[in-house]
Amino acid sequence: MGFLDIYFFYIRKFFSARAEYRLNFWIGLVANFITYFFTYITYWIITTELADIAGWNFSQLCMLYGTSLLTYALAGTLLWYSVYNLSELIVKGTLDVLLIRPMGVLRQLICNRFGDTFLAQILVTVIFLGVAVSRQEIPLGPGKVIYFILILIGGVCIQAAGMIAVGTLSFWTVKSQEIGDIFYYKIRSLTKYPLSLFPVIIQKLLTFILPWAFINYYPCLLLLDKDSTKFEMICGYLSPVIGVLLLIVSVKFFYFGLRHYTGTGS
Amino acid sequence: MNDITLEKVSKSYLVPIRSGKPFKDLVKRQYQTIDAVRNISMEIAHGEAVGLIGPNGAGKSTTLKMLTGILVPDSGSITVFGKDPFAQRKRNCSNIGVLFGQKSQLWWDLPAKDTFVLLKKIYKIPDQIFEKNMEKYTDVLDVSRYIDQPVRQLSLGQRTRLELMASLLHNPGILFLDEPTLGLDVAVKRQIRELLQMLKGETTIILTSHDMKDIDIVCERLVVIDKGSIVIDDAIDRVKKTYGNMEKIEIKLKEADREAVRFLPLEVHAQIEENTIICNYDVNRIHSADILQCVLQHCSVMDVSIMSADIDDIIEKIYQESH
Repeated sequence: MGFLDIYFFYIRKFFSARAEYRLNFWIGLVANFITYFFTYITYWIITTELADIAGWNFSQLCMLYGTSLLTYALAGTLLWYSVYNLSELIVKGTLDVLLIRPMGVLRQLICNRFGDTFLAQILVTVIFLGVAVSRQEIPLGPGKVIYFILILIGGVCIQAAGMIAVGTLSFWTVKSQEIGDIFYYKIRSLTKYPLSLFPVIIQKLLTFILPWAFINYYPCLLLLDKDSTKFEMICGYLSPVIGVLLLIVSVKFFYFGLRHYTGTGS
Repeated sequence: MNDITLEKVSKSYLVPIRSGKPFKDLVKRQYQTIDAVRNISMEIAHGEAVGLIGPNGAGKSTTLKMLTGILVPDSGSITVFGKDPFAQRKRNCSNIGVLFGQKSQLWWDLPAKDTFVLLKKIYKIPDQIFEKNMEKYTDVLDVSRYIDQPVRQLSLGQRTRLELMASLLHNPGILFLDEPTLGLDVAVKRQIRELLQMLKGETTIILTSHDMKDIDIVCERLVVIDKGSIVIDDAIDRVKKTYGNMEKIEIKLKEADREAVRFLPLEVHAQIEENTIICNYDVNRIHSADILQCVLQHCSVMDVSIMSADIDDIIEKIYQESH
């Protein structure tokens, strides 16, 4: 209760401060909207002008990418500015200020900055998920809806775990964002396309080493009745569990890193 | 029981050494351990006001950060109100107030009052106490004119007063102040000192400053840290007696006179910079009037200013004697 009260107080104050830079706010939203809008349009062009991608049609690709982007944006509104970019807060000394307050550090970081720019990603995704459903190529039903909600929760957990892990690295190195750029952004961007499109080694990488395939690929196989092996089915059902586990591990890693925090000198 | 106990506390940082050979550094880096704090032991009782001084990099900030639960010591034990400040960080934080002179806890684009309401929620300050403290500190620090203005529009002095207020709203048992008066004008400095004097006795105060006057007025006890170790830990009055009560006179002459130093009594340590003579001396051994008299007899003087020696002079003297 206390946390939600403080979180919403922060959000209210964030928007009143943001009102001072209104133009920035709107430009940020529009720019993000356009960028991601065109990714969906690319799928549309490829699937209508060329062919399905590895047997996935436009609606199915919208679900696949939509799951990834929506979970990324939801985690981003909470964690991107303060946790993924923790090194900036360390350099500015903001982390020290948070550390002298009687509230969990991660909770304060979540409150510290609302990721307003991610609202555009959420909006554009909701539009295309709507389009996908309206084309009546997606299997529907109460079970599917409940499962979809579960995979969204699991996906947000995995995305959050990735952002927390990258942020935690900044307790040791100021280059955490560069590492994050490769392991979180570049490699995760492969999940825009069906995993079966890639060589086996990439499939293994995205399943066992950097488990980004659990964000959207395995869940969507199950959601869209496309799972063909037992392994794929198990992975699909386990996705939300794996998400929660990864989140717990990343939070433990964060607090382990905090012990190694050495501040900024002054 | 003591508010604060440090027992054989050490903290070191790993710092890369640059060999100057760029390719070698890329492949293999050498690291060096810098001992920021070595084997410090100290006890602070409730209500004490302690001044913590030392040159830059001496370990003052590291000590404060360990006491506030930001950093973990490598070895030794720290207790604040009987608890480990890092392991029980949240609990420790609700009992202490911290003011970092160089870091702000106020929202930059919003009025300070909004931050105060946030702190009320985070510290779970009861309405009554919050209202009472808001009223009290608004009055004492005289901030009512700008408490509703966005912080970014305020001057450093105005901001510092609000920062101080932010660190006091939850009635902390211990107040840590790291360089609170840095860059402030005399009037604001005085106001802050007066407030600290008022809090003294009820609140334990740990103050670091480069302005000896802050420490002289607020604290009774002085701890000098140099190269990570405590060099002196004693009552200020006793330190003054031991190391002399230093003062400084700057005498500006009409014409530069290299020979002027010769006329000065032996107790005076003098330097000449262009046409100004700078005299450092111990007031227990010689009076400013005697020095002036000597100079006036031999030279024509344009201007004279007397000041109490700043902390660096005393520290310098302490080091000279301890080395």
